[in-house]
Amino acid sequence: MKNEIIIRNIQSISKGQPINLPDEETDEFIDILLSHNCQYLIWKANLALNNKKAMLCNATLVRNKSIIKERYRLCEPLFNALEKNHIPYSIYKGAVLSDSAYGEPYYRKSFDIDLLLKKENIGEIKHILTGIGFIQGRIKDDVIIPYSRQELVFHSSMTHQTAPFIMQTGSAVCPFVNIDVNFDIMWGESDRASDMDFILKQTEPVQIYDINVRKLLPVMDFVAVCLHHYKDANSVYQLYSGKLNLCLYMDIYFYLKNNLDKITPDSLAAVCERLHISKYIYYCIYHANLIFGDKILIPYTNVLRTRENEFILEKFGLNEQEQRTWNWDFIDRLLDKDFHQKFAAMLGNEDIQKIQFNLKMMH
Amino acid sequence: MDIEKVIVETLANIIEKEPDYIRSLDKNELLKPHGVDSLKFIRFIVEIEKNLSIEVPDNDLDMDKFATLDKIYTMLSAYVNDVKMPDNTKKPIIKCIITDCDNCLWGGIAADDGYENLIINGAYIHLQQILAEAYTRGVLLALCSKNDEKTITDIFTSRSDMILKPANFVTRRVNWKEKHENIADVARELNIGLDSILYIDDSERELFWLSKKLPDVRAVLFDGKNTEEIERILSGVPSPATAESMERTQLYLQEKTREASKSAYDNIEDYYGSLKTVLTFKKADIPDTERLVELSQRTNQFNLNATRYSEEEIHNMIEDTNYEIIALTADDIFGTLGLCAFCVIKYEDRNAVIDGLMMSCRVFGRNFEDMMFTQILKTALTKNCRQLIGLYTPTDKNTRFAEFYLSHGFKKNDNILTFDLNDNCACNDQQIPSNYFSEIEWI
Repeated sequence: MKNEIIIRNIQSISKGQPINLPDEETDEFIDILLSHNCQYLIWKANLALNNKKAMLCNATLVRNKSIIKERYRLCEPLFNALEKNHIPYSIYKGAVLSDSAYGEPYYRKSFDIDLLLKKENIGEIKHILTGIGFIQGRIKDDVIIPYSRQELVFHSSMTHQTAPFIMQTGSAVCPFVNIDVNFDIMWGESDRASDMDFILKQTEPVQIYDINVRKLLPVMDFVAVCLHHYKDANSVYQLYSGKLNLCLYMDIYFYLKNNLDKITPDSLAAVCERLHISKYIYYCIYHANLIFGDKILIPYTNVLRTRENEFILEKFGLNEQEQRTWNWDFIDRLLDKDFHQKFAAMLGNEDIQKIQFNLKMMH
Repeated sequence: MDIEKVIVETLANIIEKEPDYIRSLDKNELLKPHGVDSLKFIRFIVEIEKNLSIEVPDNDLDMDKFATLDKIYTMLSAYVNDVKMPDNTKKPIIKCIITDCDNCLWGGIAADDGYENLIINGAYIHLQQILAEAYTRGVLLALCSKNDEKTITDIFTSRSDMILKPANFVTRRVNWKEKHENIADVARELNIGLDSILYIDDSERELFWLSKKLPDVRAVLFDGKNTEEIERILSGVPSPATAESMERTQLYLQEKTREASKSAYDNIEDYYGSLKTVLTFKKADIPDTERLVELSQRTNQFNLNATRYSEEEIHNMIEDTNYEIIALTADDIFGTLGLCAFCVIKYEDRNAVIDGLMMSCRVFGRNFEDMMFTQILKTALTKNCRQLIGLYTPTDKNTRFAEFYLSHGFKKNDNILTFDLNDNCACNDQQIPSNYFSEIEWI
């Protein structure tokens, strides 16, 4: 299927219009959306009535709802402990992002709960999590194998996360719960640490299936999502391990589209300037607009456009040392089925060594 | 310990250079150009933690904080001196090691292979040596094995190459119950916290379920090689051994005999009377230092101000006339209980501040703490003090005794616990039956 046809139909769905594809090509289109984790677009396109794949996709979303509900219920002691001990925190991504961008917590498949905390509170959160029954480890043959000290040190020193926490719950719906503890909204390779005091003051209480939690205020939350998605779209390690995902830009587009009153161009620009992240947010909105082609995004790109911010639009890599230029058009590389091969061919020996080091530590 | 020497040797080993090369570097020179990249940094942290018996908290795991020799010395010295370690990352001292048998104390499965075919050499013997050394430092040993009693007993009686003997184990759980049930039972029997237990097993699955059921228990997966991890955890146990520590297992076994004898009496007063307990109070001397430090480091429940005194602090307080350390030793018909409680009084103006008051859990329930309080009153009165001030710091472990001072007549004003000696000089020992103690030697 030609890329322009895919993009045209994605844009139709986003505007609430029916797709324009012969029945025999609808399956292929759905497969492409599924490969990019765009279950929301499949649901929004109302394809389930006439298409089995779409029907199965919607059934997955319903099951997703049960899993997320159960996951949050099982983690209620954690949230209560955070409040009781006055530990500033926020949940971001996952169900909270889905709720903000799509109106319900279950439109994105997520496998964990992401906590955002200050690094100085990590000792306390570890104490709380291990007290509840979490272990820092990985699942192997349905058993949690604890990480080695080397792996724990790698996570805490080289990334902006601790090693993941996992708990086996005994629940048939949600047998394991994963918690990722993040202590910065920037990535580990960044040479700049975020002002977490400022960020974690921008939170509000919300409920996810009757469980009281805290999330970032809309502007801050949107910015945190953009930074995470920017990292996924530009990390040499992530790109080598996977591909570019359309769902990143779907999240960015729908988040803004469904929160225009809460995220104004000026409020967004002010936060970006405060945190020195304008170029990354510009990058995200600019590329989201290449896919969704919606004029509502124009005021946002206008307020963030500078020559410096435009410089990184055709680059990848998370810091100056890694930075390279794409030799490929954005839409083409987004939808290319041979992305991995072509991307690997762009890398040098040093990149491969770093990827192998990360693979060794992360697995 | 020469911390600098350990750091230099560890760093040299990691970057594969001679220690003299490290020493020749300027202390403020960045180490990255000399080979300390991300991977080497991680390996350095893991190795230096083992070598210095510390754990670097997550919020300090930052290459920039260890970028130069000077920064490394500053950071690591603070952990060794326990300045920076926050309370919630510091783990209690190991008081008891519970070990599985098959493929831990020996290679092979006893029930299948027979005692004569078990491998008792190499890492298995080394593990036994580590456990034996821990035993001499007062760590209690216990067995926990899914096996028949006779199978295990035959190994101890028939294999002369076993380093550990039955008498080294304060208790055993050789049965077919789940490990976590047995371990919890051992903790109750010995009256120790689960976080004071180290459990050794060769089964990932057993350790997984243990971590789920009893997450406070520290556990090591023994693969027949990795004794270093066990040594690292035990490096926190005070050394060298004190007289009490070498006899700790015997003291616990004595306590079991005491408890067993209780059933012969209809009431607790007669039981305590039968023990013919002798209490001796004295002012602590320098030779008592090791035991006082050990008691201070090990005591969690009856440690009212959550104090942990170092050897240097105890020394200084013994020699400082503004302080008084009162030690209590006890004996009864079953043997000596040794130095089982002490308090630290600091004299400020005409106040006697009880900076530390702690007592071994082995003597709970025998009113020793009431007698200690009486001795404190007597001592404060001889010093012409006007009031006692009791310091209480709540922890997870000592809440059972949160009301100790209030129940002994203290009043709370603005969160300060005070006892007016002018109004309350009557000691409260009249509430304890006269036959509880056959003799009390007061200071």
